Amino acid sequence: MSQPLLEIENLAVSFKSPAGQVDVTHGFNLSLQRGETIGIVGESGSGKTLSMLAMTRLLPAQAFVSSGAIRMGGTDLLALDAASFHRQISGRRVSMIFQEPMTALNPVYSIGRQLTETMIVHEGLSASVATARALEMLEAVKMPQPRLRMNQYPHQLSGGQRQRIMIAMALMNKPDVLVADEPTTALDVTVQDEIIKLLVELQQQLGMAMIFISHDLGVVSRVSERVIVMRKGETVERGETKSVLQAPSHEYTQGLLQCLWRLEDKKLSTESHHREPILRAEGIAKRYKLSAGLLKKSRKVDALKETSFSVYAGETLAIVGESGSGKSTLAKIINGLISSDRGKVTVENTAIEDIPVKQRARLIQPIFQDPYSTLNPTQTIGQIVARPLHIHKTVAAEDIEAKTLETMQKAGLSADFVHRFPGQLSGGQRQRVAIARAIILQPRILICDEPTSALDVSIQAQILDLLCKLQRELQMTLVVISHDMAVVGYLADRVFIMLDGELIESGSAAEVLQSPRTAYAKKLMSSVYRVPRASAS
Amino acid sequence: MSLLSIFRKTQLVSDARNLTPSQVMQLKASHHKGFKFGLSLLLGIALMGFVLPLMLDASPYDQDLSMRLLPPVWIEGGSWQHWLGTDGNGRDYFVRILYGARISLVVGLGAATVGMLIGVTLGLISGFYGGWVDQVVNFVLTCQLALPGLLLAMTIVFLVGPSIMVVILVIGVLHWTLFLVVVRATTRRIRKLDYVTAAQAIGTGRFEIMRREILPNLMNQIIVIFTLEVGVAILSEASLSFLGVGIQPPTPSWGLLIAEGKDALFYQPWLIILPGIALFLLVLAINMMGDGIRDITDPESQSEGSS
Amino acid sequence: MFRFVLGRLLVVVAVAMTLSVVAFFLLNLAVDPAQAIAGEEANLLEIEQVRQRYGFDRALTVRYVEWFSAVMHGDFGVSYYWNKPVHELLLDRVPETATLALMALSVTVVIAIPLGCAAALNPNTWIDRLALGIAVSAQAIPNFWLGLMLIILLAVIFPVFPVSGDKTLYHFVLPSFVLGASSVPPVMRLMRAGLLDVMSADYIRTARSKGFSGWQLLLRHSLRNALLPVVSVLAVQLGHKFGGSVITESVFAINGLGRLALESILGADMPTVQMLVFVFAFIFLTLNFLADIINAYLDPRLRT
Repeated sequence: MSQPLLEIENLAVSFKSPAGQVDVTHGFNLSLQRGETIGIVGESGSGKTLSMLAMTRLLPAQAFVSSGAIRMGGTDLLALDAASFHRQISGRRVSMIFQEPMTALNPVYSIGRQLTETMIVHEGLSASVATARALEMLEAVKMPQPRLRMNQYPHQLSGGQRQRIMIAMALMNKPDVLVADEPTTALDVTVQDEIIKLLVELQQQLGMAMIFISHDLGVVSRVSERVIVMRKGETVERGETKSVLQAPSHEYTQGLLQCLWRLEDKKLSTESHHREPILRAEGIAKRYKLSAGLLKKSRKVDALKETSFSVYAGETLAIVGESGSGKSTLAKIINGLISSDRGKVTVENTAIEDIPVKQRARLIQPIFQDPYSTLNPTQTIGQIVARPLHIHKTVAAEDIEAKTLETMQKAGLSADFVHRFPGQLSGGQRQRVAIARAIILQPRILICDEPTSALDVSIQAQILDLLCKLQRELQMTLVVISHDMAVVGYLADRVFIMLDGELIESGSAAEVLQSPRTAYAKKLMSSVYRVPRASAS
Repeated sequence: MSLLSIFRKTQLVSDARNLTPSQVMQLKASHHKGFKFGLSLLLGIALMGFVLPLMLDASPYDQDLSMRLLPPVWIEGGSWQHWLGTDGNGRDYFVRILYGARISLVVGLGAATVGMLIGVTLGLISGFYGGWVDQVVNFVLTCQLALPGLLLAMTIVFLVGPSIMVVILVIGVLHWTLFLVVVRATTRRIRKLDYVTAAQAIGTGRFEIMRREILPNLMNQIIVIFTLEVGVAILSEASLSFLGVGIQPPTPSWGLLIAEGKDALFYQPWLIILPGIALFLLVLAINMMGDGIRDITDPESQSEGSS
Repeated sequence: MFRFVLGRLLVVVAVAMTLSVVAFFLLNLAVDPAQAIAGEEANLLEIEQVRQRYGFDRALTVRYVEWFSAVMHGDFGVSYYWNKPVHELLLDRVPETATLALMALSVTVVIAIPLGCAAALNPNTWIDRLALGIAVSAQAIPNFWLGLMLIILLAVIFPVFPVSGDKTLYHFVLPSFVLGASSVPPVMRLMRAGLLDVMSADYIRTARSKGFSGWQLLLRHSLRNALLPVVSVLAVQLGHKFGGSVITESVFAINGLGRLALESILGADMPTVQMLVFVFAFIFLTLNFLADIINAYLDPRLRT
């Protein structure tokens, strides 16, 4: 094997805190060959990003490298002074792209200026040379209308387009190494697919090496030859991606994969049972007016075009779609939280707007995505869960406490949570509290908007199991909004696919997920990255 | 979410595991030097203004024309009988300054309360309802900001006739914009959060949502602004009184004491310096407390300024 | 961009109209102008004569329309107290106050912006603490008292500057420092908070990953973003400097608009007070309008 392009040895990153020095990662090793891709996998807080920020000298102010060595073709990167590092390494030999394309570009400067400035300011090249190079790179990242883009500003572009700009910017100086930190996590699956394909293609074209950081085993298995699995600042496993994923040796990796397999292994429901419809939507539509400021032309967006469907009692219906598909608008309308412009929603044969708010609350309850904003931080868990009982008085005042504890127990929360505040709970625990609050009135329908997508993989499965169990026990109907096909496959009896405010495909889970009919649904299904199975090979 | 804030959160969680929010705040407060300094100074001044005069049994209005313009004890000619000297009417300056603290605190607290009631109500309503309600409130806000506050206060006090009540109301009515702007911004942010939607979904009424879900989450910010506005109101009262359109003689307002001492600028400068220092210390104490509360209640900050 | 400017202008006009109504009605209802002209000792008959002569017996709305259309022609009426057209008083006094306000704003900018930047770039160091200390103290010092202290110190004990007056620019040094100091805390705090915010933004990380650091990072990537809110606040502060000139001008005996305001109020000279309220509000609105334009120039998101 030739001399590695990049070598990291025993790297440790620490934080200065009032209590002293805290090690966040340690013993990190990495050896990267020219042209290869290494994946770094781990959940939030595993330290996967920190090691790379240390290499690119982007650590936050309180963090520092406490030991180890980073060498790049004979140069000791840690020994370089700041000025030479910025002149020789940053953006030249090592470039980095980040997770949030919406905030990674400076909002007040044009795309052209941000693309060309390193060449003009650092290399002293003329503006025309730099512009030519920028246009060439925009072509390379397959940006439509590159000339127009140069004069545009970040807020005029979509997330996927901004990520293409980021990639073009990172590759302007033909770096040897590209560090991609969760570059597709904030994007829709079909856009993720395009960006990943683009990265792989560019890498082969330019012969650069790539370090790909992700929490998503599927994505990593697609792009990288070798993989490093991290947990709580430590490397738990490393090796060929294929062998690590097919025969994991560490119990953490095994556990992670088991969670995945368990979701995948559940037999897809073929049932499209036509029992009693509990909820009916007839021709509902919603249009939003945006920025109707003084003298400004208000832009109208059709969030939901005329849609009709039924939800059957006791089933689990999954609504799948990408951002802007109207799936969240749909969920809010059938929850009665916003009203539709046209059409009507009936629950048990009564129009939803004719159901008094209090009665509606006992029929339909929502569960939300973000466990950090779903609970009021100023109230205790006991107050939060018991609140519906105080409003609805479904049980006598002296029984409220018992009922609260019983419901919390159903949601997997022990009694000692009663006096805690949301700030003292983990994401998974908070989601359990939200579920307890939603089921305490024993609603008929539960509408779950991306209930697990903000949680780590290992927690996801627990919450999904909880939802399944409660559905059986309380005989609820579940409507699940999700972009995650694994979650959909695990929970759903029937699946709806939405695109641009329209319901374009529906059927049993098996029909839609395995043999999609429309072109978009086919594209959506093929954009999902699955981890290759040992049994399949 | 930046890496740093993630780190800070985990740090806080490990520091403060099993601590309720109020316990975390107490912990931070006990380590915050600025807050502790401000609070002690404020309590000291309040005690001196409200309790000490009762014990001294002296009146700020007692004149003794044979004892006019005595210097403080550390300047030649001063005596312990009037250790901060006397004013042009032979009134004990120490007693007058003590009473001045009362006026300042009463006006400051009163005016800030008036401003808070106006600003928080408008901010909560416009932030919660948005739309045309918000646009109307915004127009009123622009009008209020454009008005020359001091000039208007002077005019109104002059026209209506000066009294402590009028001064409190006028200053309060002119100082609500900061409450409005902050409360409105936070209300807008909170009303989009899932727990407000969840409250709607369990059948909570609008008023209850504002009272139970939104207002408690605004309290920290409101307290911080209230504290700072007390300082602003105290300075406004002093300015009005200094210009002769606020508290009227012989009431011992600090601003008025400085105005009365202005003619003796060259020969008896302490008549200006002493009430000015009192005013400075009081407002400083209040502002340090306000800054302290901001640090203490900010979930992102680790008791900064503690080291 | 055109729509944006037009929209802002409409707001300026609407607010100015509203305020003129408020000021006119408030002042005319609170003070009987006939009484004010006739004087304290006048009997009822004399007051009634004045009322008829000046037309004060007509409906308030009619008088407002008359007043406003006159204002549109630059005629603010005649001062009872000075016996002069009000707009002449205004033109006489504007130069002093404008000089004072602009010099005071320069003082604010020169102290607050560098201090705020330095504090944000060195958080939790002695620089940061010094800046915070200055802000906290400047916020607590009564403006008029600071003026008097500086007179005692720099005009009496060490006679470096003149005690009072407005003859030369030199006379304006102490007053503009006093007036400028009051705006240092808010501007500095905003500069510091804004820059701290920007420095932790994702796009700064991007810029650092492209090899920018130090001054280049500050000037090319951070300052413009951090200055956006500061521009608005500077406009507000400059507007308040005109209104706040009342105190400074009375302490330093400068014959500007502020002193005119104080004298007119104490003399119950409502035409002048009306004019001043209107003019101060108009100055404030114009400055804000300019700040909006500057911000739209600096931030493309505001242009669309």
